Amino acid sequence: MPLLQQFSPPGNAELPDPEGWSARVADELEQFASLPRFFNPLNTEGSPAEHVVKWPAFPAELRQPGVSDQERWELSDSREHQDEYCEWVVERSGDEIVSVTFTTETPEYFDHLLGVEPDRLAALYEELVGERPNPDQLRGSDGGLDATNDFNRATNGTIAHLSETSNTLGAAVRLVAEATVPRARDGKAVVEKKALVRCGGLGNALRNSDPQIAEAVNGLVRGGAAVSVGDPAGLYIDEFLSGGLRTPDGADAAEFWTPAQRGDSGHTMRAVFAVPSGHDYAVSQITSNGRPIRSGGQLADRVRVRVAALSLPSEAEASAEPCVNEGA
Amino acid sequence: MNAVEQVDQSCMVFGGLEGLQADAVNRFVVGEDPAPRALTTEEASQELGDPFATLTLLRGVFPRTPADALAKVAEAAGPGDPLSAQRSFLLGEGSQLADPVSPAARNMRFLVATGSGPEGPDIIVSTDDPDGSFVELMAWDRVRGGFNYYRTVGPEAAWVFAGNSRHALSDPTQGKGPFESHTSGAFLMKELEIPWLHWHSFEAQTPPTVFADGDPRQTHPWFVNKEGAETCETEVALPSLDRWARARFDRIVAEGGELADPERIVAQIVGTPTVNLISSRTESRDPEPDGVVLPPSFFLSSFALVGGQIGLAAPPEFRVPTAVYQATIGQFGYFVSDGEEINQPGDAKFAFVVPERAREDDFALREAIRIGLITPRLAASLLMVDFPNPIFSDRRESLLAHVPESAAIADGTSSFSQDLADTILAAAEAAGAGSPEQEFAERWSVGEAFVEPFNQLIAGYAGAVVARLQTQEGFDDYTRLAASRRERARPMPILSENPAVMPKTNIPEADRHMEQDGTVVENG
Repeated sequence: MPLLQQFSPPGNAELPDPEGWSARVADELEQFASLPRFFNPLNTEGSPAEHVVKWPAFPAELRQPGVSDQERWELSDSREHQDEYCEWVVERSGDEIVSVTFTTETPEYFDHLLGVEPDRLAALYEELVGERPNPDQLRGSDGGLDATNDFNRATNGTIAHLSETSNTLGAAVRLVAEATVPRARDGKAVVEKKALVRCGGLGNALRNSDPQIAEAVNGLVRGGAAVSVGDPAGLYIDEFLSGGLRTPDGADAAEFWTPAQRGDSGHTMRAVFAVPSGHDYAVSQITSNGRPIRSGGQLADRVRVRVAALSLPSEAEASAEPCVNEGA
Repeated sequence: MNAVEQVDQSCMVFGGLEGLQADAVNRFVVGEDPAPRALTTEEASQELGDPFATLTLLRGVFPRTPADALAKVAEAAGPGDPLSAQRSFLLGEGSQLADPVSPAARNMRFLVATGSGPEGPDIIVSTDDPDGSFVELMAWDRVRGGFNYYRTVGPEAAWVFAGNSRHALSDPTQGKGPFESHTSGAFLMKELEIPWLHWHSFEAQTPPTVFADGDPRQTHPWFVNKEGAETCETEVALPSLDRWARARFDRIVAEGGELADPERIVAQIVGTPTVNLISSRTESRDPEPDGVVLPPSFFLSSFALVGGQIGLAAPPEFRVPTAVYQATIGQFGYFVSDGEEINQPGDAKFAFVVPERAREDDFALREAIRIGLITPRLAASLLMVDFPNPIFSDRRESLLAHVPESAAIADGTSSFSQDLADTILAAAEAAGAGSPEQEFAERWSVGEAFVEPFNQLIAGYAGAVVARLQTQEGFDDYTRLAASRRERARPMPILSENPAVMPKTNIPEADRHMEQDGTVVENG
């Protein structure tokens, strides 16, 4: 019996046409069927081990050593910088921060809805961003979902789903699949994570996410495994670190974090940090290690994102390939 | 209690202690206690208000291993209490070497934190072996504030109370025992910034092979469940630094605002009581082709000056061409050595490791401003004296001679900043042209609107540095300056335990400093 009969919706969320969704994920995987150490759980048997890879949501590319925190935090609140499979928006009232909303939900789910039940997508958008679009307003030139549509990229502190070009389920699947290829340069295995990313063309070496995923997957393959993505396939918010968050009234700021706004309790895809009623202050009056919260990036430092990979013992030939970029 | 005469007042003194009682809390605060003495239950209860003491030692429970210590705390605290959850981290100076070395040479240690709350963890343990007899433990004193420092001694793992954070701040205990390295009583994570050299992190994973085959640490939960240094920084280090700095300065206000030793605080602004380590994010053996971005804190006190209370603009990126960086590796004979087994050619895993201004000093400065002791203008004017040398500036440190003997704060304000400035200004004329006093006078003279003039000063300097970084000669100079700072920092207690903590070179030892035009000069 295969490992899976069908791919689950992201976060085990409700979804019309689950068969269509599963087929869509399977199509993503099938692109890489020729890779000997990458398998499709729909046509593979065995007892896989699950491996979780975690990383901070804050974009590592903005975290150069010694760069001032304030500078990097401010920069990071622009969606185009948020490329760690997690994006966030800051809702403000005047100069005060009211809430910060994080999402790891990839656009593919929403594109699927647009294809099968556009009105349901419109309703979901209304729920998430407070305004109901005409489904056609969400379409790009190819008729599919434009992840950067105005409703998802509004600047009023609302967000529907991920929008940055590399923040897609397809990109994550591609990364896992292509990381199953061992790499060598000058006869020597490439194992350092950043070098591996550059050598294998596996995303951006300065991100948190790509090198970690690549190293973990490549290490499993070099250890004799074949690898695939975990089910439900997706990126999830793993944890919020609240140490050093000081509130004006001494309340525990950990309580201000509300996970699983989308996704089941084990697969948070959307979470909000906001001061609940009963406390007479704003998020921006809370301090993080002594500094007032002035941007969402300060909280993104505290958010952990994860992806799961599956591994099975494999004897398939997996000879090392040269770098795809000779200059790497 | 009077100061006592002891030949060895360093951390090393604990290793030779004898006559300790295994079933009591032994007090040995170096500089204060002439010898270890077992505290009575009443004495211990009066002195120790941290959860480690209250949940174990004061109940007559004396764990014999690090793992047992945290297990006993968890058991006493009960399920669901933050003290029942642990976060473990891993580091070792030999953990990221390119070539294999013996597990012993890697010097692996676990850092485990428990009791996390809004102010950070209540208990932090450091040890090489979860099931061994040696443990260093710090625990927040919920009654008196500050961390209580403990360690075990000998095969029986006798518990010694070695002092509280406040012992770091005054004679006869400052600089002694654990406060040799914890110079202001704060938690230490010397590689505090990305890429956290020596630490397991998302930048550098630590495989089980850092331990010998069959070593039980390979399968210990602290190893299996270890988290990255990025989490240690966020959840343990920064909250702990903030917690002690805030408590320390709140106490000054709570005790009436009279400060008998303001020099102790100013030294954390103008001096270099301790350092952190920082490096580029570039892996030295496989650098990015588009250059190596050097840490700005090598060039100026970027954390203290940029943004925040002082509010200066960020400097430009300090990027050196990859080929220029790589040429220095061979030319200057980079190698990493512990003086024993480790002796590997090349730079550390991450390129350009250098000491930088300590974050605990930045926290102290921030708190001094918060309570009104120091004004942003004074802080900026002091830090901008000899600003191209953010650490080891003898010029800037010489201003300590002018610090008034006392200070007072009332209602969130103090005349201390003006008093200190006036004293330096009064000395400036006699000090002569080019003196640190005159340089301070120039800085101070720009007044409250210091941001723009100081930004311009830094912009001119940074522009010169950026231009010189494009040349081999320029970067060679900065490599020599980095070597000079490394060797000056190496004897510091925080770095002296393991020579492999920073790379070495064949550059002749000499004190060097940076000029404002971006050139490097050997000190005369």
